[in-house]
Amino acid sequence: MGFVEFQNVSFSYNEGYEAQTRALENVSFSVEEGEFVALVGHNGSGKSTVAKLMNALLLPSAGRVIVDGMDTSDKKSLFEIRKRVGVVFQNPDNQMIATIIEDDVAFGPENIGLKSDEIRKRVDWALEAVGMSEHKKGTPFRLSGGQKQRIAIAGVLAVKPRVLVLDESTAMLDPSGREEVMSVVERLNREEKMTVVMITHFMDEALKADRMIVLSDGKVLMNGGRELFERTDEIKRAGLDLPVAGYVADKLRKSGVPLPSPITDENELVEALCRLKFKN
Amino acid sequence: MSIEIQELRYVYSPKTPFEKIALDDVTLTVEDGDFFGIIGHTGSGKSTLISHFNALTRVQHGRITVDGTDITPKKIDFKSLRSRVGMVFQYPEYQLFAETVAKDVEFGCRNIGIKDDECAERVKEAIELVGLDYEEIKDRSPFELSGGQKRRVALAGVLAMRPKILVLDEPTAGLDPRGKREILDLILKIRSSCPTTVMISHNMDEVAQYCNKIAVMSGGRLYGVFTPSELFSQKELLNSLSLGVPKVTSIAGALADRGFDIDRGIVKASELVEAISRAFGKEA
Repeated sequence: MGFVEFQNVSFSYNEGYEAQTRALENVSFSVEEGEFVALVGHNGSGKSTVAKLMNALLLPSAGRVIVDGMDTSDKKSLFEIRKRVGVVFQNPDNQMIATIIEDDVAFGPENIGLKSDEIRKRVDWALEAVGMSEHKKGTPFRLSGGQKQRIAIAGVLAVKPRVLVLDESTAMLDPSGREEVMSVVERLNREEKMTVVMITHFMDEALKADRMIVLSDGKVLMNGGRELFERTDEIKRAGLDLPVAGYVADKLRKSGVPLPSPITDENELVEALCRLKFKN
Repeated sequence: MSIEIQELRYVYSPKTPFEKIALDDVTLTVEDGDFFGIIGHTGSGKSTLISHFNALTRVQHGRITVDGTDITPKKIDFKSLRSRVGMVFQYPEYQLFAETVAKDVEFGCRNIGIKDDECAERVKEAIELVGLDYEEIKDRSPFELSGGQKRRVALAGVLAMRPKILVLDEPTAGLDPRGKREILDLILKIRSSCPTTVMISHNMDEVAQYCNKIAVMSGGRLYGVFTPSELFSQKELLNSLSLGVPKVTSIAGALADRGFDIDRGIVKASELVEAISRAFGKEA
């Protein structure tokens, strides 16, 4: 059994009212400990609903969400579940609550009732992990978007969750901010063995994950490794773009350049073209 | 209709400990018919620059002329300026407020003093222009629409003022790939009635594809104005400004490094496919 399990989960907003809208329908998947999973899909495909179901901000209308053996519908487990699953949202400005950075990061650990020396340790560790220690006495409001988002991640890390969920946490950042956040996340996954669920519609970010789950209209359309990037037509139908290298490779094959398959990233494409061109 | 900016300088919180120079000595011209991109990392002054275009931010030092009118003096005709320069902010859907779509779209139009009948006509036209069904949507609450629809409604509110220049601050941020394409294609369509467009973007692939000129901002200064292929063939420059290169250009550059006869300034995927196909003696 995975660390996080979705078992035939359906969810509707405004259930029982006229404005009822179905967001997820019979969704099942699991996330193992230590995995880096990308969850992709078009706007309105149900990605963010999945994020909110993972730490019991929402509860399923049908089916079950299990985190570390606990059912999220069980009110008694709520605290334990939220300690295990931390969510970072899209807008960095909406996630800052204190005027001093280290106070902001300390909010979570204070909330779960830790002792002050333990809080101190965790805040220092979390700021170190996102590379923001030198700013700890500063104010979050004068930071760049990428820096703010790293503080938001630190705030979640300080609770020492087992799973870090990023709900389009790079969408509002510029390219360098996006890279900052991505490299922090990759390092947490690799070195701290943190389980990561990254919700995104940047397919180039999804390429960095071990596994990709594609949602479309509230259903799981695909679930697998890099081989999924070869299913170009389905990806397009799901309202997503292929990573550029995959798109170019696809077009080149169609015009008769005998490229091998799969090709998903830039290096693979360049190497494959060079082998074809200069093999003799 | 053009915008001329001369030696613009802007300081936030002047003469306080928080003093920050946001713009310094910026001189540039947006010409009639330009699809003018502005790029630069966060904090480089892009948003401060464009908020001058309709006098939301007033000129501290320097001079700005919009369509031949100097907007530097303290007293100017704000209504006329703001009806000509349509400003679409980041995440404009957060600014929707009225009970119905029609009332929301009408707001700006009324504000600049357009009479009832004409207002109604413009609202209908604007809603249709952004690709929504007027009859179906006019009486609905804007808050029950999808994200992409909300953004269109917000855009319609600006278009109802029939601006001559459209200024957009990251119009595609937060949208999925299909939503991005739809908004950009919509902007291209609008150019038949509003031919001059200024767009801030963090997405290099996007500015490379759509803009004819790209201004690069860095630390409050204008680094320069380039055509897409001029700009994106200079990989070192872009790296030094931590701006990155469109994926397509980066692949073209890597192939050129490895001995392919390929232009380093390629910015469109279709051009890259053609160039590589040619290198293999195939037709794309």
